[in-house]
Amino acid sequence: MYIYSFATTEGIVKKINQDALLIKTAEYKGCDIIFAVVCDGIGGLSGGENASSCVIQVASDWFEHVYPSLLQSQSNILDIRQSLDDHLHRINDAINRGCTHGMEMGTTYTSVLIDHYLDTVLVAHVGDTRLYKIYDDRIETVTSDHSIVAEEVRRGIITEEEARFDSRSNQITNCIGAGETGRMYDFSIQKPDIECMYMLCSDGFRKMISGEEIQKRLAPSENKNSASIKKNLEYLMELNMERKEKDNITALALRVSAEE
Amino acid sequence: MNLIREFLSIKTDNKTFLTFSVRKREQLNFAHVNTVGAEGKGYFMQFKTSKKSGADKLDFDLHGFVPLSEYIGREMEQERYFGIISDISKIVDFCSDVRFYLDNVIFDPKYIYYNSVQKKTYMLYIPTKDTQYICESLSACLQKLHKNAKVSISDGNYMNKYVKALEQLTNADKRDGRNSSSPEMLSRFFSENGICGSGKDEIEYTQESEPEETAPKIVDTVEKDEIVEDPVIENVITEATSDSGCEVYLTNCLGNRYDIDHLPFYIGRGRNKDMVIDQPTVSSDHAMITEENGKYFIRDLSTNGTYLNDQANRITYSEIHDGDKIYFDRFCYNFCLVQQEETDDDGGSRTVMVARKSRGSKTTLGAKALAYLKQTTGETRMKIMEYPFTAPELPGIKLYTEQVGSRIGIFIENVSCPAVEFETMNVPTGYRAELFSGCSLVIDGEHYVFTVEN
Repeated sequence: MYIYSFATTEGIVKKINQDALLIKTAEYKGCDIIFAVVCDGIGGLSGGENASSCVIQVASDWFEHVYPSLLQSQSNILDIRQSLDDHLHRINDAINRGCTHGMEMGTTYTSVLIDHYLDTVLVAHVGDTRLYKIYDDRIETVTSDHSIVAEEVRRGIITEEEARFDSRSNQITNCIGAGETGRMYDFSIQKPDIECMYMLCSDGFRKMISGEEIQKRLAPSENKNSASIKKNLEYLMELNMERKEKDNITALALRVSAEE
Repeated sequence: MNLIREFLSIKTDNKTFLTFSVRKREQLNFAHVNTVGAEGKGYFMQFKTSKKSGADKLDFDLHGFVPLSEYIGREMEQERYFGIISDISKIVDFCSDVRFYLDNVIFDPKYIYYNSVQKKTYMLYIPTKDTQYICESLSACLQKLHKNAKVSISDGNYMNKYVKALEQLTNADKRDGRNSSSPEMLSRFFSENGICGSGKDEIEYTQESEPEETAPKIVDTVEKDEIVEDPVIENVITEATSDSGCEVYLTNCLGNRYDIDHLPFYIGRGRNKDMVIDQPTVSSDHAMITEENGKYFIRDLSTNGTYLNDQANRITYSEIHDGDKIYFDRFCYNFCLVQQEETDDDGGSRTVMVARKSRGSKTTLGAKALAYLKQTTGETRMKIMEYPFTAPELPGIKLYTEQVGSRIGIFIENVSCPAVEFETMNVPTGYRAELFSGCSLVIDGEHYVFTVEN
């Protein structure tokens, strides 16, 4: 059994929330499966909102209709990855076709699929939304940002500390839609980790607060049920707003519930 | 005469094997056995031979393979579907090249295998001396595949052509006898129509011509392609604009941002431009932005014109200010000149997608890696600057790109490395696997993560 919760707000400045999220659970042959997604829309006005909700819808349909048939046909995780990748590229093409008709939009995408039947975690990632694994003693960032700043850190031009306060932190280098073609999305195949809290968030949730602050609040041993996850996510969301985060803020967190 | 597939049986102990029992009075054709293991490696399932009470047995290791009958039922893009059909066509062509009996090829989707890592279809060839068997017909096999495939159609015309060709093929089989003319007809279909977006050479051309074919005809003057590269732009990286304490950039309606990071800044359809607008009515050299004493100017160089804001007449040379709308032909961009100390209420938090110059431009400072191979233990990180990629640290390994459907796939080939694993799947010598960004690789005992920098 998984416990999970989320928090989201349009924030203190923006009038619309371009972030979107999804949490779905399923059971296959007595094994738990959970699928969670966070998208952060980009582009003016309602474009970003459209793009993020479109992509969430595609992810949701994929999980509900395609994924079960993959499991039934005994697909391995590589086939499942390919299928999700294909669906994301297809919606990318569809959004781009929409763009040419005057609808301009794009979105980031980060999802985690934890399947105890296949004993596998599949992470998919585009843009600067993130997946964290939070333990009682540490916090790990699973995804690497597709952003100018993160790229420069990887190239050794700036340090991670400099990156935190870089004015270009809102410039991303990869997303779904926004006219981009021929992009590759990141995937990672791992083993399920029942010790940790998985946390997905948009950039608005993490810019004004430190990893340490996130870790303290979302440490697995501090969160024994969904209500406490909710409370802590909301606390961190408020903290971001107090520190004048102007962006939309979204986060969701999930973990295996501790056996009673 | 017996149906050849009746001699197949599936065996599972640790691994799943498919076994073909050769009948006692028959003999293997060792020339064919060798061909399957050599030139035929990319087409046919490999097997081990053994003898049991005087009769030969062929054991096919099915690890990593999915029967096509199963794979075809999954949703797939049209390109992938035709990738499979053209694989089959190539196998049939190969058979006629090396004089394999088509009667010993198993045309049954249940016994055709797909390797989803290699993105390749493999078939079974039973190399016996005489053709004592009958196989099913190729056309019936393709019909079966077509009936069960779940293809999302992206090019209806092509699909219709294929359905027609398949019908002709079926009729020819009925008229002339099984498989007598179908192999040629199938390969003729692909040579006439292409493999639906795959094939390296074809894609180069189709990409060029596609916009003109699919988009509604544009009435404006369409410039001829100039392949001559503009020599002016080379090495003119001057005055980083951040020195002047302000940010200068163009944005389009998508929110894409193009930093004017050096001057003069060239705009046009040509691939080497600082900002590429890939539209037929935009000139190869469309316009340039220059700066003088902190003021910015735009100069028109085009056929169809550059326009500023709501002015009806095209401009030749004009000063531009923050917030100005510049139309390159009819493609609108905003010119932004932002003092850095200035903080507008939304500007800082708004995410923008940074568009990149198209491939081929090497004017950027400190070249950027296309991808990284990072050791999971230790800090070694290899930069992949170009494909094909080989490194002295990784002898016997090659990374290269190839068109897969409408996208570019990156492959690892095990040329001569003792052990390569891709996501725990073994990649034997002579084989390849398609990589994805974020995948794990074990090369000769060392663990790596492969990531693509877009």
